[in-house]
Amino acid sequence: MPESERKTKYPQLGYGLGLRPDHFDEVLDGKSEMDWFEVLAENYMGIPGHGQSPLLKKLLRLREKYSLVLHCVSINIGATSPLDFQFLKDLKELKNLIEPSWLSDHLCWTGIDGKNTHELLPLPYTIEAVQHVSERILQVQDFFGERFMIENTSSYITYKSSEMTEWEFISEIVKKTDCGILLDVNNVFVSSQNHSFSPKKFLDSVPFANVGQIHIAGHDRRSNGLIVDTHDSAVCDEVYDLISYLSLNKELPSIMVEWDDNIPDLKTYEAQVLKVKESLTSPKVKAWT
Amino acid sequence: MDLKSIQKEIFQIVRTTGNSDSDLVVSDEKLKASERLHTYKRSSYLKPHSCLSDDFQVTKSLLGEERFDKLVESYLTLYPADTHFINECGKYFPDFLAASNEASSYPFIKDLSHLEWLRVESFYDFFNYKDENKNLGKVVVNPSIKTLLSDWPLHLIWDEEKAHGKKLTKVFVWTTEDRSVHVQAWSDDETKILTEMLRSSSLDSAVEILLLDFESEKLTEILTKNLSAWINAGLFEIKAET
Repeated sequence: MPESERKTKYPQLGYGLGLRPDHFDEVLDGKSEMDWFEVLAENYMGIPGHGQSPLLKKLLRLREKYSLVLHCVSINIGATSPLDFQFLKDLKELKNLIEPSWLSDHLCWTGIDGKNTHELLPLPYTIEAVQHVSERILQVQDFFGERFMIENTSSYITYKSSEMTEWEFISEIVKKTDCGILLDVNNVFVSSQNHSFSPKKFLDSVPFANVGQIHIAGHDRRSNGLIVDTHDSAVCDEVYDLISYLSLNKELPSIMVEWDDNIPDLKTYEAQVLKVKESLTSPKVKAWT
Repeated sequence: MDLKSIQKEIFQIVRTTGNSDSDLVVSDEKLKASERLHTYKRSSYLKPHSCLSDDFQVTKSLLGEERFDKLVESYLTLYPADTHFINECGKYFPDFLAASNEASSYPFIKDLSHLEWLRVESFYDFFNYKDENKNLGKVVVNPSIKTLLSDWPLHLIWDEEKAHGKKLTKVFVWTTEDRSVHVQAWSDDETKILTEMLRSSSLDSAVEILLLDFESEKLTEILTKNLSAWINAGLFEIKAET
C-alpha cells in the first residue's frame, strides 16, 4: 500500500495495563496511576444477557474516566476456515458500546473447522500465508471500517516450510493491508531465545510507523530450555533493555503491561510499566533522545 | 504442503493424545520438534482441564484425581472445544460421563455432573435479568433457575457426606445477586406449587391453577410457609401491578 494512502497514526495514550477483574474496584476508586487500560474483549462477549453483566457495567463506568482499547484472542485471523462473522458481529456490538481507541488480536491461528485449541498457534512464514492473512485482515478492516492491529506472538516451533523471517512476514502483511502492529516486546524476546535470532534485529526490521501499541509481560523459562509466554511474573530485565533500545531512536507509542496468572496487587502490577516511564524520563534517556 | 493441510496436521497433534512428532516442524540442537509441539499440546489440555476441575468439583472428588484426569483427556479428544469461550468446555461432559464405564460404578454420575453443569449455566443466565421485565408482570422469575429431575436427592451432596438412597427428586439451581449459586429441593407438594409459581405470570393465576389439585386450606398452608422464603431466596419477585 503506498505511503500516501496510509491512515493517520494511532493516538498516544501513555502508560497502561491489561485490566483484570481483580482490580476493577480499585481503579474505579481512583487508586490507579495508569493513563489507559486494555481489556480482553471475550470477557464481555457471548455471556447470555451480557448487557446486565456487573463486569460490563463496571467497564462502562470506567470508560467514562479512561481511554480503553479492546484486545482479542479469538478472531483466528490466520486460520484457513472462514472468518466467524457472528463473533465479529458480537465484537462490533461491544466495540460500539465501549468505543475503544483501537481493536487488536494476535497474528496466529487458534483452531480450524469450528474447533478451538485455545492456543495462539504460529503460522508458517510463507508467501501463501502472507496472502491468506492479508486478505482476512482486509476483510476485518472492511467489517469494522477502521484499521485493525495485529500482535506478534511468542512461538515455540518453526515450520520447515517457512520462507522468510517473522519480521519479514509481518512487514509483508503490513505492506498489503496497512494494518497496525501491536508490538509485544516480551514475545519478541521469548521467540528470539526459542529460535536463536537477535531481538534487536526484529525490532529494527518491523515497520515501526505502523506500531500503535507496545506490550510488555513476564514469562517462564522451562527446564528444557524453552521460554514460555505465561504472563505470570514480573517483566524481566532483558525486556526492559529492549524497550530502552527501542527508545534510543524511536518515539515509543502507547505502552502497557499484561499479567494474567498469579496476578499481583495493583501497585505491583502498575510498577512494571511505571518502571519504563521512570527510565524514559531519566536524565540518561533524555540525553539519548 | 499448503496452509490448510499444515493446520489440519498441527491441530490433530495439539488436540489429541499420543505422539507429538511432526515432519512439518524443525528439530534443532536445542529441542526435537515433538518437544516443541508438546508445549502447545500440554497447554491446550491444561486450560480446559482447569475449567472442568472447577466446574465439576463434586464429580472430581467422587472419581478421584487420577481417574478424573484420564476421563478429561479422553473427553477433550472426543469433544474438542467448539466455541471461543473456554467456560463452555464442560457442556458435553455429563453426556460423556453417562456413556463412560464410570456410569456402571456410579449410576448417578450423569445426574450429578449435569447438576454441576446447571450451576455453571445458572451463574451466567443470571445476567439475563432484564430491568424492563420488572414493570411488566406481577411475578418476575429469576432467569438463572434450572431444574433437574433425578432419581437421587443430589442436592444433599452439598450439605451432607452420608450416602442417600434413591428418591425421585426435582432439584432447583439458581443464582442470586451476590453471585452465589444455590442448590435446593422441596417436598413433592411444595415442588408442585413452586413450579407453578415459576410458570405463571401472576400469583392469582398460579393459585387458580393450583386449586384444581390442592384443597384451599392445604394450598394456603404451604404458601404461607414458603412464599416469603422463596422470595427471600431470590427465586422470584412479586411486583404490584402498574
